[in-house]
Amino acid sequence: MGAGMKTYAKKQVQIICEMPLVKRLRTHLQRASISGYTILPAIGGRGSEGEWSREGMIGDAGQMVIFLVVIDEAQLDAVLEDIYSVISDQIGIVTVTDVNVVRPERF
Amino acid sequence: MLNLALTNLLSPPILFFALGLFGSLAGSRLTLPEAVAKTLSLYLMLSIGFKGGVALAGHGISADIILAAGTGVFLSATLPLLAFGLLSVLSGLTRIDKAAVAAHYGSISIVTFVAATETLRAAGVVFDGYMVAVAAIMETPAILVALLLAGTGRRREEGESLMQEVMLNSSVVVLTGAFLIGMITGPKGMEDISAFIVDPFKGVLCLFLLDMGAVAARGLLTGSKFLRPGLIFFAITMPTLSALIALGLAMFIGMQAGNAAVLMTLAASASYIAVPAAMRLALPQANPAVYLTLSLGITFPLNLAIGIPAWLGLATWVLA
Repeated sequence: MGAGMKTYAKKQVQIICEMPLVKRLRTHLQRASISGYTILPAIGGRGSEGEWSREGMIGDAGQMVIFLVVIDEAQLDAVLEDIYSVISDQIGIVTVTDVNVVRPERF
Repeated sequence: MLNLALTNLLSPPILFFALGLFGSLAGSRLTLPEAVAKTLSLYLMLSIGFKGGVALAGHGISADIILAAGTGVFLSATLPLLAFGLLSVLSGLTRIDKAAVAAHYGSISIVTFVAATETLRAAGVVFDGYMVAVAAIMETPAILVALLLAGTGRRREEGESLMQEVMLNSSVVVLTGAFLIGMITGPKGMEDISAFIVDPFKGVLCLFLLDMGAVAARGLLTGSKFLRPGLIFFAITMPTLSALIALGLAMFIGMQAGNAAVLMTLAASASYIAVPAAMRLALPQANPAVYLTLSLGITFPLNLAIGIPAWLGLATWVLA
């Protein structure tokens, strides 16, 4: 990317949530007309219940994934509210950061 | 019965489980990659389902099968009530936690079932192939009853998606699917794939149980702070009571000893794959460390080491 390339401000929402919730969260994001998102596996970590690791797990419970969603600021409140309705009682973290993208029409 | 218990304890699968358990308790970071563990577990479901189906090929649905399946559903639906009541007396858990634990103890552990069928085979005790179907049927009713016990109404839409996810979880789909494929293809199908699903079975079970031992040890290490004496007592007495109730029902419906031993094992086992995932969706306020530590850390090893030969010994003693 050249130094002079124009970029556009967007918001990135990161949702660290439990694996069993993936399907539900996907449905909600789709309904909210989010054009795209990426899911990454988390390999382990530490939280209020102590350490956990993905290794050797045979069930989905106890595993975590990370959703990365880039959206326009105008959508942020509605999307956060929708996400909250899914994960309010669950283990997890939702963070929002400022990001810049090169192709704004995609978000 | 002592001989049976000793043979079981000194069988390769149980010794590998012990290796995983004690190795991890001692601090070894012994685990299989997640994808391998999942593949091995699906292999075991496929093999056990297929073998059950083949055994049943050409027999059709008989009154015995319907009776056994009905008894399985009854056990899965009523054992959570007993578990909930026992926990009310023995523990200071919240209503939601009690309901979540009750779901695990009403539902079943397919791996415990697989281990039991190996013990029966080694002891030369016959059981019917349809017990695989009984196992699959017993997975779900407990979850529904536990949700009623928890008394938290989730939205209907979410309830429906939950049931869909539970009934379509990969182990149930592969187990029942392989069972049906076994029934359709019969002995000819078995001849075709036995080199894959029969011969390596015991070795795969050893590798899988090695990993399960490590997983159980990790569960015990992280969850030990939740293990109050009342809960430990529950994790030991509940499976015993469940097995005895199953034995009573097996006598009532006239089951043969092998089937009764399998039914007792199913009743005594506690889920740690399907139900925890369902609970994270349906009862997220329940503490996973409590139910996983009890079912995976205590009841599962106990059933493998002592429970299975005890249930088999009891069933043959009472029913033979």
